[in-house]
Amino acid sequence: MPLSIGDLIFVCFVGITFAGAIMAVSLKNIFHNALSLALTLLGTAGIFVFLHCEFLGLMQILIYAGAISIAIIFAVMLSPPLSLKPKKRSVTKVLVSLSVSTLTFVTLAYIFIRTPWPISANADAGDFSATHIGEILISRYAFAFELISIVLLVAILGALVIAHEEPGDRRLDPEISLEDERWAS
Amino acid sequence: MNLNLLHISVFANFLAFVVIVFLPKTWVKRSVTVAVSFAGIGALASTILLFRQFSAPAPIEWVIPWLKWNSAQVNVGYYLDTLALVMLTSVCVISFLIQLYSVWYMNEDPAKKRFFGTITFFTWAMISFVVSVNLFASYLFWELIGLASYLLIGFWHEKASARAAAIKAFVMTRFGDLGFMAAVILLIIQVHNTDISFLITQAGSQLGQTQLLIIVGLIFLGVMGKSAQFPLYTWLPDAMEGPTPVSALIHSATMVAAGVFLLVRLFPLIELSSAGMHYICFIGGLSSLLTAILALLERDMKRILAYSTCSQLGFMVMAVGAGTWSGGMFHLLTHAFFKSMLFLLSGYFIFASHHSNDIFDMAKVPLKDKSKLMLALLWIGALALAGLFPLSGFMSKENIFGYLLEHHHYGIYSVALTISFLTAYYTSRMAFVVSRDGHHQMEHHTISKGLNIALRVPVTVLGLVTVAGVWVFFPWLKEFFQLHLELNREFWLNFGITTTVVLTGIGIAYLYFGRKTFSEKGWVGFVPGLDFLIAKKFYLDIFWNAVMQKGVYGLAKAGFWSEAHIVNAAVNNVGYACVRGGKAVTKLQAGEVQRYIVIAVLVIVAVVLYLTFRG
Amino acid sequence: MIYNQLTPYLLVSAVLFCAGLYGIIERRSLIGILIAAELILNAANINFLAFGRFMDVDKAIGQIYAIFVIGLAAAEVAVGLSIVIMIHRKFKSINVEKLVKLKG
Repeated sequence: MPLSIGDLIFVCFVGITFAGAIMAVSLKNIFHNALSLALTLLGTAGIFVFLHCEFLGLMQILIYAGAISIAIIFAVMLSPPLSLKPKKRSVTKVLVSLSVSTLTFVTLAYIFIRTPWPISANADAGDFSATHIGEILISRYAFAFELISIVLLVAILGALVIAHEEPGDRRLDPEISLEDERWAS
Repeated sequence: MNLNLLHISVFANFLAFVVIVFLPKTWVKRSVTVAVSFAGIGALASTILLFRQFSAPAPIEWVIPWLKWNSAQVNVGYYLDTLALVMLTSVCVISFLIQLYSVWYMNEDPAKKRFFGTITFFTWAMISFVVSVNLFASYLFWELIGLASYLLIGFWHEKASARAAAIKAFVMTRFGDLGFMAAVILLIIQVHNTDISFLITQAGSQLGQTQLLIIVGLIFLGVMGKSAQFPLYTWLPDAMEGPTPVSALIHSATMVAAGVFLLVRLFPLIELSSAGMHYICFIGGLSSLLTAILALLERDMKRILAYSTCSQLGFMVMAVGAGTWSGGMFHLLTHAFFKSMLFLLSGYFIFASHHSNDIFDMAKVPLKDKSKLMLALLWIGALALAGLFPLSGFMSKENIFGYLLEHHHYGIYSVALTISFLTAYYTSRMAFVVSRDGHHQMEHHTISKGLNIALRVPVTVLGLVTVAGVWVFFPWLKEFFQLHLELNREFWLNFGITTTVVLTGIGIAYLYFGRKTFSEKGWVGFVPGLDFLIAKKFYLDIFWNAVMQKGVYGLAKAGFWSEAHIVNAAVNNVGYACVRGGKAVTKLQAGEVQRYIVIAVLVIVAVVLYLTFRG
Repeated sequence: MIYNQLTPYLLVSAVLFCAGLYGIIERRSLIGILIAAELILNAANINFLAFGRFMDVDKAIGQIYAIFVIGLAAAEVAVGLSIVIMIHRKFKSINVEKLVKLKG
């Protein structure tokens, strides 16, 4: 099966995604991790476009790559310094994690490949447009829509409540945090 | 329309309860307003309902199916015939008046909000009990009434005696409640239906004489607990630890009346068991007599009233047992009004004598410091309780006497006469002593104008009902209660006998307490042994303590032994096994989240693999 | 035409998922774990969209699921980050190996 131009571009996006994902979990500096996450999200947005979901791809870039990773980067940057020396990885832990995730991957891949998925003959015939999504979202899935709105509201309030620092509760002691190995790996 | 009125009168108090519960803690005044205004609405609705139902005696039935199993069914809803309606109205009205009075009485109490919340809750439970369509639902409300009573007796829970009294009342009535519960269960098993309309029409024919006797006995056990009958009455005098409005509402007019009301409600069923009727009559007479004797020497005004309540309830039970439900019910009705008035007055006199319950302390207060209105009402209440013409108590007692005479129950008649004599004696003793002119100078209390209304209006209304209520409604009452008040020769004979007895009682009381010099014990001091027996309260408290301590403790001990040697041995071994197994497993629990994740993922993968390769 | 088949997408999502899993198990920093969780959510999104495209359903449904996942991810990050701040305040550390209050 010869590779077309489309295949090449697809493989490029997949490569970006993989590279970002692997860097996001393997690099030691948390700031680099966050940036790699943004890279992965951009790659995923490209994959979304290949799935005919241009709207979702756009949303992915806007919300995920734009807002969420920025929020994480902010959290990282608002926290104490990055210049601390990262602690060495524990070899056992890496081995365990690697073997567990490899085992999971093998299982998943086996299932994905062996299962006879009921693929429809004219898969791309339907209406992928944002208009259609909008219509369904406020008719059939209106309740879920309302629910997710409430979840977001509650999350915002919850985040405020949890992170709110009581005046008398200031236990953030800079001396302790400097000795701390929070930035390890 | 009528159904709506019924809804209003039932749920007004409940609504007030809910609102008060959800009001902020600091809104004390507003919660008082809420309670009183909602109770007022309820009272108004029930009164309108009473007048509307005059002409239409068909019961209002409103039923919702609730529980269903096999062939048995339990409904909730209303069954409001004239009997329930009369009770409903009196409960609503008295409850409203007493809540109004509480505005004065509880004015300085910091926990007013809790008080009004509980009292509205109680009123709702009581009303629901009265109008309930089904005996099972009635039983539930019966328990709620008990709970509310417990909360209100122990309202001043800082006082150890109040706590003890609350627990005593709760435990003693629980004894009886067990019987009621067993009766309801038996009825469900035997006749598969506990609807009141069914019980009073058809259930009797489906039950054998023995079954009937057992059921009647069990129901009456519940009545003995709630209506404070021998030998379970000891909780009632102690219940006077609660605030006075509570004593007036719960322990004279409504809750303790619930027992008698239940008897009257199920009268067509109970009537079928003649052995049961004899038993009821006997217990009623005995409690009435014993508690009347106990009241002879009592110095605490509220306790005198409590004993007289016990005694009058016993009188009603005796009347019902003798076969006249209408006699019991009518007396219950008139008694509710004048007894709650007397309790409210006792609250005033306790206030006037600087928080002493002792009637001889009240005697020390100069006459000019006691309100004339209150004294007059006290006398009206006392004479009504004694049963003197033309007050309401006379009518209801006369009705019972008339029935007893007509049906030739001479034994019961003479017992009733004795009770009547004792009642006349101790109530007029109380009234004579309280209305004495003392010389003990005390600083004078003043009551602000608004509070004065809250104090005077309820007692005056109750006093008016006591004097005139029966005469206003006489034709209707006569028809409904089938009063035995024909103006024939027997009536005049009866009238002569009872009035003589009552006047004798009052006269003797005057001799000992009405004149310049007076003794504290009166003639009772001259009867050998009686003095002592009264002081020991017929050993009943001691008996119950023994039952509680020896019996319950023995039971508990037996339970403890079997627990230690049978249950525990088994449980312990299982426990040890668990502990050992657990210790082995703890090694997995490092407390690190990531280790848990590894385990969880491995398990999920294993399950997925199993599911994939299985088929 | 690789991109017109279902399986490649599923495999990509599997790789993303496993990378996320690795991160969750291995990382010591709470923020690192949060990042790994985002990877897993993305893997799920790819699956939703892929099945939505290739199976015989309304084409909007898969996308709507993905939108909800994005919404939930936003909520999760908001709450998660505030929890990180909170934990830091309480334990003076966001190293999960030190947060062993549940130790048996």
